[in-house]
Amino acid sequence: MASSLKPDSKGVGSSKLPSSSSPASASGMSSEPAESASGSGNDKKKKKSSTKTAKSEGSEGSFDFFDGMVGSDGAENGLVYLNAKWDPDDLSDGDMMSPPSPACVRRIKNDILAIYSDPPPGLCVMPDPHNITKIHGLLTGPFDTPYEGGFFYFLIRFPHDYPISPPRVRLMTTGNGTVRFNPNLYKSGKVCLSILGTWAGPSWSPAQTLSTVLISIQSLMNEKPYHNEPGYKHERTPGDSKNYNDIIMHETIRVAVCDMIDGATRMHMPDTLRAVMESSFPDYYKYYVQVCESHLHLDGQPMNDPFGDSRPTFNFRQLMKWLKTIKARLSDNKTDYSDSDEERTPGQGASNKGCRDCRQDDNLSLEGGAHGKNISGASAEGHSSNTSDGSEGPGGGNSNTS
Amino acid sequence: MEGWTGVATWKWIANDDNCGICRMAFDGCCPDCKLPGDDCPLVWGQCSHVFHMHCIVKWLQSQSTNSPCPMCRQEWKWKAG
Ligand SMILES: [Zn+2]
Ligand SMILES: [Zn+2]
Ligand SMILES: [Zn+2]
Repeated sequence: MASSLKPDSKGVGSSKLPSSSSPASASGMSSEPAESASGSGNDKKKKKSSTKTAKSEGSEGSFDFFDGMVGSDGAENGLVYLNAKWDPDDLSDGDMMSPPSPACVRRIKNDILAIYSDPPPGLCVMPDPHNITKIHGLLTGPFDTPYEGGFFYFLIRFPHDYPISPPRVRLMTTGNGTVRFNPNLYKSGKVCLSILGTWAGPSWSPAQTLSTVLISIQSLMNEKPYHNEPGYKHERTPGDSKNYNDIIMHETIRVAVCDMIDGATRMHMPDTLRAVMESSFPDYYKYYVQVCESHLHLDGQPMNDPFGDSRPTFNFRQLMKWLKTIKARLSDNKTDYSDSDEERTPGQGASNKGCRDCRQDDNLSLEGGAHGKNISGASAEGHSSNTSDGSEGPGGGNSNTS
Repeated sequence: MEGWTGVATWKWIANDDNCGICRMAFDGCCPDCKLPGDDCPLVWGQCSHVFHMHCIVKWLQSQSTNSPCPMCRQEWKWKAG
């Protein structure tokens, strides 16, 4: 049994939860770091006048991109302005091709161990067995958001000069490039976040870590993602935000739950992360069904995306069938990974914090100098300073705005 | 450069003991160096944040226009030692 990703904010099944001691509920998670580290809705609006401070390699001259960005499909193209390289699979440049320095590798290991030693709720990482600069990450949608119970798989790659340059991040959970889950999460997989250089606002700082990056991404998945879009602080049409949430809930169950579990192989997702999804699924099953049942009246209606994205038609009835099929399959063949993943210890996960199951890569042991206290310091700093007042967080901060 | 006494003072104020850039402990050297001590000095900014000199220099050199402190984002100004 893999340890579950389910965040501990409702006190259900806490023995399986990653961080039972953490008071940060999913909703707390989603608001606090946003203030300091990510370009959340308000943040972005505020920055509108200060776009010139945003790092934009090789894109001098054109800062009126915001006009082109309001609206959805156009937005994806409009963002070329921030020419930051974002795609972890784009190996066309030296940043990715040169081998990482020992200092860089050490920092990456430190980042990973910080997450292992103090796992933030709903967050799981797994280094690629063949390449230390490549990390597989799984975020579960936070409680009380339309993303609740969804499995969002990210691919992260560190450039050779990390942490001087930010990591590159791609969301793999996009229904094969068809679903935009958030104004900041494009169907191309691009993650629009100022600290990644893909959005206006506080830019990257080498005090950021893998953990703060993932927490910032998690904070994009908030209660009312509609308002993440610049210029949509207030609803354009009454009911837009609720309507957008209905769409995201449907697509979360369709694409971030059912298609993720059925398509894990297609996406080359590491077995350990797949096991985490499969062991979390039964815990969420009741919730999924409730969502479907309470939205059945929408079936047959087209999803009117407030940003003009093309979307399918609501079909919660079909989702219920799909969920049922998956549930039956999972309980039938309690998937046995022992052949592909011999170091996993069945039955051990339940009482473990976080992602201990992922912790099989002993390459991760730090040579010499770094100690536990060092590691937990890295992580604790990322959180506590964010939560205290948001003004002194690593790279958080307020001073680059005007 | 400031020496180890400075470190103790700073620890007392900021209650932290590792470099915000490389995350290595200040009682060791930065990951590019082999031996702790004078070869890998610590440096302070006027904002009172402290880093391995090698780490902060790498960061400042990578910045084309402004050079914010990695921790507080204020413009980095060397504190006269
Ligand atoms: Zn350092
Ligand atoms: Zn050094
Ligand atoms: Zn500072």
